[in-house]
Amino acid sequence: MLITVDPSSAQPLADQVADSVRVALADGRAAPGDRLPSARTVAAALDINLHTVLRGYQQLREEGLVELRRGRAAVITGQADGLRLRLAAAAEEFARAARQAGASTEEALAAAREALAR
Amino acid sequence: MSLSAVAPRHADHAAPGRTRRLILTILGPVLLLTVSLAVARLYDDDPGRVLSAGWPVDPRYEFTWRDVSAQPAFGMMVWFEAFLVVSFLYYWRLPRVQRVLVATGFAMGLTVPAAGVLSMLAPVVAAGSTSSAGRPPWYLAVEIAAGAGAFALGWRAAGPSPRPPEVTAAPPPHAPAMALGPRQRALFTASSWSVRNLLLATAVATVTALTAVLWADYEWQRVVLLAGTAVFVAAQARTRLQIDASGVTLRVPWVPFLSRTVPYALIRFAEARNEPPRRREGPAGGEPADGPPPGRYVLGDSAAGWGVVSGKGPVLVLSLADDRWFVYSTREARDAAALVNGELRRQRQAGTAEC
Repeated sequence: MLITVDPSSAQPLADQVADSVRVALADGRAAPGDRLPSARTVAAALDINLHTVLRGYQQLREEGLVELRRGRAAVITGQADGLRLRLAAAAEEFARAARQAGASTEEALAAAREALAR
Repeated sequence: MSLSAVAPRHADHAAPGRTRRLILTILGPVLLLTVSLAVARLYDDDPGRVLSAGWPVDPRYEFTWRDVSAQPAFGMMVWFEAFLVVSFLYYWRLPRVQRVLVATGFAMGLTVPAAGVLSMLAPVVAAGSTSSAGRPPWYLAVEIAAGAGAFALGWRAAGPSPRPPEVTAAPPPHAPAMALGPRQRALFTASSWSVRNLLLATAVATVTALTAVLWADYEWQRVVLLAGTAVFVAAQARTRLQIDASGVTLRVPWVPFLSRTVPYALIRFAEARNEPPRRREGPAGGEPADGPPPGRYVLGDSAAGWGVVSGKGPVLVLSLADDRWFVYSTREARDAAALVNGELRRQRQAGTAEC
């Protein structure tokens, strides 16, 4: 499991932690039953606050991607839907590229519809 | 593609202090003979008592080659000496293992005479009983403590191991590397089970059970030691790999003192391989493949390197500064190698820029 954060990014650190796990699930590098590193380990290794990591893990729990139990490792659930996650990751990447290019939401959606129609 | 061809090789980094470590390694078994002879001399008025206590020395000796070489302790010394010296030569370029050999030699050399002295002091033995079952309960604890003390003495006498030279060159340009931003931080974790350790632990547990059933009345100390060994081996079956800003850490969660970190300064480059190192097939069969040589990559050091290899899946391979390799089985070997190379490139480019 690879988790990366960039403090210079505008994206909140907790979101970056959650995104790392989503990306790993989307491209098949993580699978149901895999354990996430403990929040304490992530916080110490990435030099971020423990509660930030827990917020990121909580997002994944609310999405049904991981199971969190007190005192036990976070485990990826069987509900992690590969197709949905792949689409979500691709959409995330597309949205980032569109924002960088300065496109409006309408322009970006139009471009996506056009690409799908081909 | 092999990356090893572009990696520079260093001079013999194990040379500093090697003569001292070799002499101390040889000294350990010599202590077994000399200390046993010296202490046994104190009891030369009662040789029967010494012999009945199981000493490997007959105190009625003269200082002649014939008498000394006829002592059972002399035979023990020769065997220990051969074992330690051959091991030392095998691990010629591994100062860390040489230090362990010095400590082991001291433990062997001083534990045997210490056990002899204990036998003489144990009241039950002194009263005539020589069976291990008749020994007082403190006997084993004191014997283990004496062995541990001798090991610590040898460890200290060997001195610190020389560090391999630090690598400053960036990984080869064609090595897979993750692009890391100047402030980006990354953590990679993976875990592995060693089937080999589980099988070994099962075998030792079986022997323990047999010993307990057949000889528990006489050999309870052996049962305890065997059971401890089985637990110790089984506890090493689970390992975790962690890669972060401090380096590559191999954790043994149930035996924390076996955990080790390889700092980036001691890594040349990383690569991912589809399977563990093995001999190349084909016309040149028998020759080692490029990269890490076939060998035992386990938690303990070997001439080839160390690590954890389980099954035939992909492995992360690190080329180390001491000309050895670290190998770890993980299905995410490609990510792990890219992260290590990315971190190496970032650190070493930053180092070059500062100069």
